[in-house]
Amino acid sequence: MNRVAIVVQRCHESIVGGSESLAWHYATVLREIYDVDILTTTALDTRDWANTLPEGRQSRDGVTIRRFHVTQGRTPYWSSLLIRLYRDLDRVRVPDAEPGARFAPLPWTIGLQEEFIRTQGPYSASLMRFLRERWSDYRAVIFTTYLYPTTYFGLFEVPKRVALITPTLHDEPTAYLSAYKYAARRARSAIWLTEAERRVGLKLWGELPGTVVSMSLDTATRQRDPAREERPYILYCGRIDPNKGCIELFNYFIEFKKMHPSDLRLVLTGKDDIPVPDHPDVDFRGFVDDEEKLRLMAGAKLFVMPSGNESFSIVTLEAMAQRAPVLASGVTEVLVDHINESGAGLIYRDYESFAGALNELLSDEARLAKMGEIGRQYVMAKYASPERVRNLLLVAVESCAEAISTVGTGSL
Amino acid sequence: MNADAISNDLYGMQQVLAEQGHDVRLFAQNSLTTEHEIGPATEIKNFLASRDDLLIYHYSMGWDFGLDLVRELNCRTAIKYHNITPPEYFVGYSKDYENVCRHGRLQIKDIAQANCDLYLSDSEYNSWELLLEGVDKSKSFVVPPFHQVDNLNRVAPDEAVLDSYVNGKTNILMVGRVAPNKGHATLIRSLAVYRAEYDPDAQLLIVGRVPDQLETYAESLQQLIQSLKLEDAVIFTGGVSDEQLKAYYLAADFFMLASEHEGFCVPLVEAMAMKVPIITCASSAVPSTVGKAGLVWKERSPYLLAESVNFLANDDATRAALGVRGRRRYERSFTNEMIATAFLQALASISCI
Repeated sequence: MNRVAIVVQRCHESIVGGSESLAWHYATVLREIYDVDILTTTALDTRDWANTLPEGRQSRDGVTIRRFHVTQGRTPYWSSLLIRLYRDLDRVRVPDAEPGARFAPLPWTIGLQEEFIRTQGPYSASLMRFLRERWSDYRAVIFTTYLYPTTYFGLFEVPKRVALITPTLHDEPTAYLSAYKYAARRARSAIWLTEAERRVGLKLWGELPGTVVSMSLDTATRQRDPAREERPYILYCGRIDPNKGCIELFNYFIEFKKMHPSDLRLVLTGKDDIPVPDHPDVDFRGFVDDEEKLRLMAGAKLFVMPSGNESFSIVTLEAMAQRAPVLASGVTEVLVDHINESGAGLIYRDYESFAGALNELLSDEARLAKMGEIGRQYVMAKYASPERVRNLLLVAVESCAEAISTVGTGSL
Repeated sequence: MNADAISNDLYGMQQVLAEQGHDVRLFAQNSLTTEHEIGPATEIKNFLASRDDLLIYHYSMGWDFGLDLVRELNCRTAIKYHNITPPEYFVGYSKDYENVCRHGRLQIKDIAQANCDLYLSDSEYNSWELLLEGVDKSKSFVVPPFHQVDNLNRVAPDEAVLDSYVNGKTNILMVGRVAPNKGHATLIRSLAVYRAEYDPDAQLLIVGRVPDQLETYAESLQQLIQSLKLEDAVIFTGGVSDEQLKAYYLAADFFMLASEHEGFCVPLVEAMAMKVPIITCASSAVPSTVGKAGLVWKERSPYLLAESVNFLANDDATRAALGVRGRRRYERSFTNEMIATAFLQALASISCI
């Protein structure tokens, strides 16, 4: 038995998503040692988790992808539960608290929490059955991202000794549902992306065995395309979505341009889940391939990351590797850590600090160049080595294979 | 309106047998449903004409017509025994209930000795009663009742119920008809102890209708509630829809049952499926339904039940683990799929499928 399973909510080359990229990255890192199966659903679109891709097996770059039908997608009913969750969390909000302590315990029963998690989708009954019946085919089952039913309910289907979880946890409202805490404890150990994520995990879930494994990125430098990109631009790559802070970004940028006229543009790539404003200086490129994305990063004055929901922020680090200094929202601890540790950018918390940072940086080319360089050094030192990731994953997987305890499958 | 446990068992059997290609019809002496076609019992003899046909008699009360049928029909016969509440519970509340239950219990011997082809019981407890009355062990099978958990999983919970009860107060839930064998007084006294000692805001939600003729029992409970000054803390919902029932389960911190007599207790299965931790007392079929998936006490003590609530209320991890154990017991023992398998296996023993 030389197989490892990685469970993730979606898997397809067209998907722009952090946890999906992480699952694929771990699959490609591990495929040289193990036969890797990615266990996922036939969904592509997070808005409804509709069954879009064919069910069954597919082989891609030496990794087997097994897709299972979604039995519970996302419906308006879930949205009503989400509104209820936000409303009820608001009642237990702790003012001025630090990440991981922003809400007191929510009076939701486990049953109600699971109703929320299941109807959020994608829930796949056949994937659950597969895990229940076939987990022993694998040395370890790595559940990627805590949020979705694939991980949450999947953790109840396999014995603790073979379950690993890569939470991709950050301080967001859903992370305060206690059901996730108990689910995470069903894993043998956690694989964290950063120390900041582990700290949030400690506050929300308590002490869990685990390691900061992180991931390695494509750090080969690209060249900007001076012919196409004559005018200077700041860049955002990723899902264009309110959860990613994009509405504030649009508002701040348009306000900034009003107050400080120049030829500066905001270039965006990714999937537009909300409309991009029709503005002469906002340039939306849609989905672009990795090469184009990295070229755009290499040519950007700054990379801007407005999201308050990051557990690692792959694109931010990719941009740093391309020597793009970073202007990041200070909501997420992990981004603050990246900036503070590297010195490769500035943090903003409101329009004033956004505009101030932009003015300060754009007026100082030498400082920008220096920040770009130290940003690249930061990524090269920490996130450039697939061997390091492989070795740490190997230790986690082999600890599962060696385990003899069978906690979690005792009969009733 | 949410159907009763025996009706759900009936519909479940009908569906499973129809899927096997059989012509299945339901008959009853009285029927209130409009959703299902139920024929008058007098037509059963016309329908079951062949020796290979099968009558399944759902036996839960005294009914001479039913007993005569299993004795006289020329086709194969099976009993589904749901147990019969001992008549003593109804003394002082309803003469009719008392009579029909007394009559039903007296008929157990006749039913057991009617030499039916099969005796299906909801629980081990029920099957023991039949075996003691002389049923041949080779004809006896435990087949838990079909239920509506799949439907509860499917429907969206009633928003108004969630609005009313997901509010930070501790909710203790009981589901079942308001009948004197269900131990409501113990539940109410437990709530009084728990509120006095630990949590003055806790409330008891009693979901289920008050059957006709049992109003005096319900009134006696109201008197108890008044004497304990719990008027605002004990809520009788009456009959509820599936959506409301689901919402009550989702709002419930604990499922508490102090029944003195149960033949199976489907709400325990619903609570397990919904991961509601169960606190109960060991009587009749309750221990075999709950297994190790709840706190099951030998004594029926309000103090013990209140202490159990307090213990679990202060121990999130144990509470969550108990919910998981319940869900697992449901998945491993009581899904409709598993019940269908047990049912069909029993029928296969008399070459009926």
